[in-house]
Amino acid sequence: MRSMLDRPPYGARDDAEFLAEMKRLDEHHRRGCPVYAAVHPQARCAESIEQIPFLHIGMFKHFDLRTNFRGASFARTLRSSATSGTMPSRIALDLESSKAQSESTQAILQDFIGDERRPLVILDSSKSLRARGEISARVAAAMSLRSLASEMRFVLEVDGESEAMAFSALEEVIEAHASIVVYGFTSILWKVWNPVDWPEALSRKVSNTRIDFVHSGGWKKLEAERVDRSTFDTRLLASCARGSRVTDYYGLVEQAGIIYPLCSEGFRHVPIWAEVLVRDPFTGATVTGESGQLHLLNVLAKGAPYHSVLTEDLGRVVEGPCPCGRIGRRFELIGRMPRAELRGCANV
Amino acid sequence: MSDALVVFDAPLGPAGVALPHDLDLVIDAWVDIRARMIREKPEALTRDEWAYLIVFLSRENLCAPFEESFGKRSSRNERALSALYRPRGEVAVWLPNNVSLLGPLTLIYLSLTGQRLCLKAGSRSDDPTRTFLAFARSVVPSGPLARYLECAITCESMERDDPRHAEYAARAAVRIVFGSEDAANAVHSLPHPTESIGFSFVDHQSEAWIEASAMTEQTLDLLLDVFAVYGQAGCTSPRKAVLIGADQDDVRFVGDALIDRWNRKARSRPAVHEASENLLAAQWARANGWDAAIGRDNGVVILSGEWGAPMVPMGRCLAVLGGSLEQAREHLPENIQTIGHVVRDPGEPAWMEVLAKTHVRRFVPLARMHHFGATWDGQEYWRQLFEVVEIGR
Repeated sequence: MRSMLDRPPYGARDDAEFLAEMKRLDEHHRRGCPVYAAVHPQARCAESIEQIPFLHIGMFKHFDLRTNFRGASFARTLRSSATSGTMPSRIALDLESSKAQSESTQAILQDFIGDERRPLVILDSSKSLRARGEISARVAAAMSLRSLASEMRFVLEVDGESEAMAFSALEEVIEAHASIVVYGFTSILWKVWNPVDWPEALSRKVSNTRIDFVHSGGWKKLEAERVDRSTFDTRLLASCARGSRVTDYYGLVEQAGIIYPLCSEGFRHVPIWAEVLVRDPFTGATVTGESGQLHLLNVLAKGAPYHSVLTEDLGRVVEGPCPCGRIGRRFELIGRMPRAELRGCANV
Repeated sequence: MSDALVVFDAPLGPAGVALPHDLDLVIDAWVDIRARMIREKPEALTRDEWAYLIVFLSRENLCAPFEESFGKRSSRNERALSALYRPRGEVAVWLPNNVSLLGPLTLIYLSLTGQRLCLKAGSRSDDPTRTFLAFARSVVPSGPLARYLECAITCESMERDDPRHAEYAARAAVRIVFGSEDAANAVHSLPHPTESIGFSFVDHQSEAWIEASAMTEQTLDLLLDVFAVYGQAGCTSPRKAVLIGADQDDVRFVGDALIDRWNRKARSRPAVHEASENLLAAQWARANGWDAAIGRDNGVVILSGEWGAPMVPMGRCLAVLGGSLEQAREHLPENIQTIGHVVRDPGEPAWMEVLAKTHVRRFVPLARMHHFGATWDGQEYWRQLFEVVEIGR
């Protein structure tokens, strides 16, 4: 794992090295996680990455999965946002994996927004950090950018269900810096970043600031408001100085440390310490060029078996080099699986 | 006011049922629309659902609520009645959003009473009850049934806090609620006429009990067919198949045979998310100690295992267990509704002795598990749509 993280995220990968690491992790979790061992009792002699066993993402909602190993030190549990009334996923974070995941996020994001250390403005409340033992996906996503930041500033005032921009906090940062990074969940960024409605002086200062907006999280709320990516990006970029950028990344708490920013050509690129397969939802066979269920793998997960996770997201692996110049596998994220409601006779 | 008095040979003497319409014309009209139903099907209902409705609209089935409640139709023009039954009055029915056929089936049976009917239907545009009602209104020729469907039925969707819930409850002589316990309690706690009555059809589970010695290849096919209709989403659908008198080898054999038969029979593919959910159900089951096998297209999960392994409450997941009748009884869920049986003699006292100690509401042949009738969840709801006038001499 270490040797992979020491290299640039997008480049030629030694598949044999990756496979060997995944097989080691498979065995590691079988030894240390009783649930994983019950689901996959026997080690498969995997000859390719496609043969590495996986857990369905829903398992993280119904079981507290944890892999015990010598020297393991568990710090916190990462909790997903649990949209649409579903149960949240819970991921046990061990210190060793957390450190590697932080390095991973930093390396991936640097490839998209550069390595200049700038103030990081987080569209969240500092109160979000105070929960002990558990950390929400929203806070974890924000904190994963910490290594890129010269300082961090939380600029959201949260009062129950209402969220509003703390103008003074934002103004302090902008007055002192010509370039900043702003992170927010997609729906929150759209909701609160609207300088047209802000005090005129602040809007003017924002318009002279170069901003890298980084956002993650689903588009469901925005789709309901009929806001598409182009509208979203246009409004954000219209508020700030030339050279500003918007970076949308795809990530799951069940793949902590691995994020998939959207490149300029509309694709997601896979770092060398991860892999993305697309599986036919009915046969499980891997497919290329066709849409199917995303199977995400990474070598950074020691504290729980989230090294190989079958998601409920649909995507498509795209062959050939990407015009953006990044090397390695790329894929197109299509979105969540359509969920028609199950019909019963009465009781569900 | 009664337009027609229909007489039945009840066990205690002739019973008259006063109806506001000509029952024979109403039944004829329902039976006749089957010809149209065979030719056209609304998109909102599946082929299986539509086929079930066509079968349900047979004359025999439409006469069944009367015969089960009052006896055989009298051929004599009897007037010396020992009892007179008349409908209680307006009926209000609450259906949940995801209800499948219970809405249309209830509508059909309640229409036979001729009483005003208010249905709180699901909010989805493809709600089966509203779809079926619209279809029936468009095809039933003029006559008493057409007038009834047009003038006496209200079918509408409404949010939880809609004031129409209270209006329904305040007017109805009979309240029927399908759904969760919370929903039923909420409806019945609304102000309602003191002498009105209420029925709650809430969350239930069902099982198949099969005597190992009665197991045949046809039984395996029937079990899969009955299970395939709703998977775990139906209260009448078996979540467990209990092989009475079987050991673990038998259980494994039957589990393997079910998967094999599922894979061999052409079935429609599940939806993508259902296939994914089945995969999750299989992993969840293995983590719970079950031996889980997945059928073709991730369309079904067959679990084989031992008593005590926690069930998996999702997916199209059928558990096979073996053991004694006593074990089967001990492990019945509290909210058991139907046992679909394949036994040599269901009338044997041994079965009755076991059933008497349980909460089982229906003990019916496996093939009839999903059949909706005038008695449901152990309640003779249809008979109680009528009040009785005692007649003494």
